[in-house]
Amino acid sequence: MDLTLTYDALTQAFESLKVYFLIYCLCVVLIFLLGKSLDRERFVYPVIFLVLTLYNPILVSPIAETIGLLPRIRRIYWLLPVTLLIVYLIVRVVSEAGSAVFKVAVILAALLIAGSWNNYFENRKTPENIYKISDESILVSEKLHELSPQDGDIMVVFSDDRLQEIRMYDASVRNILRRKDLLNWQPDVEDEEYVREVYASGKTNRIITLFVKYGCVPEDITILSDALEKKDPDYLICDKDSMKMMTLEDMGARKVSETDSFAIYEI
Amino acid sequence: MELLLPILLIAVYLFLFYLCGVILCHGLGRKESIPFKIVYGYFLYFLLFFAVTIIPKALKASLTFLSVLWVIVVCLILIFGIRFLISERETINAGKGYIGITLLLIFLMTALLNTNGDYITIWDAAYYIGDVNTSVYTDSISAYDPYTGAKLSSFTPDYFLEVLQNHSAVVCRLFHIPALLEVRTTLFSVNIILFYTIIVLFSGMFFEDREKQRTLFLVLFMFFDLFTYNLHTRSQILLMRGYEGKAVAANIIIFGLLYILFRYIEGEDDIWKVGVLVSMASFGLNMTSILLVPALTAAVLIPHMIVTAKYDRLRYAIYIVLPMVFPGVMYLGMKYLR
Repeated sequence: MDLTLTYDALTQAFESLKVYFLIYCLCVVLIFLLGKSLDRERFVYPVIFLVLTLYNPILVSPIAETIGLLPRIRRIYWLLPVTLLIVYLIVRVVSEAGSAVFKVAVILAALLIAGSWNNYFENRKTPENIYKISDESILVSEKLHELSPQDGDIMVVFSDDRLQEIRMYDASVRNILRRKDLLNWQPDVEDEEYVREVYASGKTNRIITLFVKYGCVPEDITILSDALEKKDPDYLICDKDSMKMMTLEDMGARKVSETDSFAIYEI
Repeated sequence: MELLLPILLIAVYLFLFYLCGVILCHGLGRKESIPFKIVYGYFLYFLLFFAVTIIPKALKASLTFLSVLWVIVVCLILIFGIRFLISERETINAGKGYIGITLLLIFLMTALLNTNGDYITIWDAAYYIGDVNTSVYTDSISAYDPYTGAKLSSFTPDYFLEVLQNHSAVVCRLFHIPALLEVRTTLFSVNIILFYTIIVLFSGMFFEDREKQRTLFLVLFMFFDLFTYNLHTRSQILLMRGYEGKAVAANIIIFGLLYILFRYIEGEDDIWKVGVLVSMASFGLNMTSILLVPALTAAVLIPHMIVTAKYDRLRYAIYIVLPMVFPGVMYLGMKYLR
């Protein structure tokens, strides 16, 4: 039983927003001590109930994995109406205050405090086009179609997560590697013994993943070329990593096109 | 010009939600505001879509077939919605100035967020948008792996009941618009508008017709949302990737249900029926609702029952939670038996 499960999830859920969460806790206490009974029913008792049940690791830990909650455990904190309560209290204080100066001071203080937290603007990016994906992904897709003018699917190997954008834009470009190869499988590539075991296993997706994602090249390069031959992609889209490019060329792959960040190899 | 249709579709979505809200209120004999009708019409709309989709999806029917079915249902929504709309005169309680400011704020927030070209988790985006794009390309209903384009041997338990992306695929099929525009412009904007419409409902609950307080509440709420950013907050999920099912769960489902539960504990006994609607529609929007809806219902209603000593009210909590038994059993069954 993991007794820190819900606490760890809480710290992650409010990571870098501790003050925001502490202000919420303070608001809950204030409502409990000074609020009307309806407000306590809205904002305090549900929290107490959740702390005793869903946020209680003794109750939740044993069933979390069974019900598929473990990878989504942080979502239980979406149930706390944090902003709703804080903003409600601010507006209540402002509306009940007599002095205009006090009202303005409370609003300014709220804006200044909240304004110092992590903001959306630092994390936004101006879109490059109306599809809101990178121009380069669109360019790669167009180049693939230029290279394969016939209708039908184009089988490729994506070497970079960014290239997932292509499938959002153009479903005729199909990736050989699956989510469970590129994301869920996290090999310790520093462990040479483990890497050798992967090569010996003959698992083609994993052998290709080791190369395209981690840059691992087997001593016997035929292991990689056999894996690629088995999967038979039309193209491999490689980030412009000189070692990977050299390996591909050693295997007889031909660079047929390129963009700023990627080289397209015919396999 | 390519953006014109996705933007027009935002209005079409909202109008259809509104008509569904009119049908809902007519059916339940309730007099409610326009924002209420839009928000809870959304749940009725997606409940209907779920009902129409789930069997064709399980039978691996084509997207074209589903699109035809859905057009028929939308025609029925239009016929009944407009008929009820004409028979009932709509009243707007709030002042015109307040409505103008509210609409302007929600419009500005939607426009601001639409100028964002970033998304935090490419793998999630690749699933949600890739599924729509792949379904349109293969004329199927989530029958292919969005990451690879390979045919799936079986459905993923986590996503089988979710039909939000299937709805986007239907819209793309009907209007011939790219998945990226439907999902990252139309659906994203609709979800932002719906969420802040729920906040408008809360402002009415807390401050009734005091327009200044209601406006301040909405402004501060939006401000806090812009400044409470980390990878896991409700606001980040809404602002950065509002088209994902989890954004709907964290924002529209939880707040939509919370509003109903608050009205219930204020003494509106009849409103539980709308709570049941939210519950029934929720798992078709995001599977996390299987846990969140019962937890939220229990967290609000059980303490209320104890405090007021009205133990007979337990049955309303059960009514709201009951629709979750079906997806819950199905999810666990698919997970452990396949």
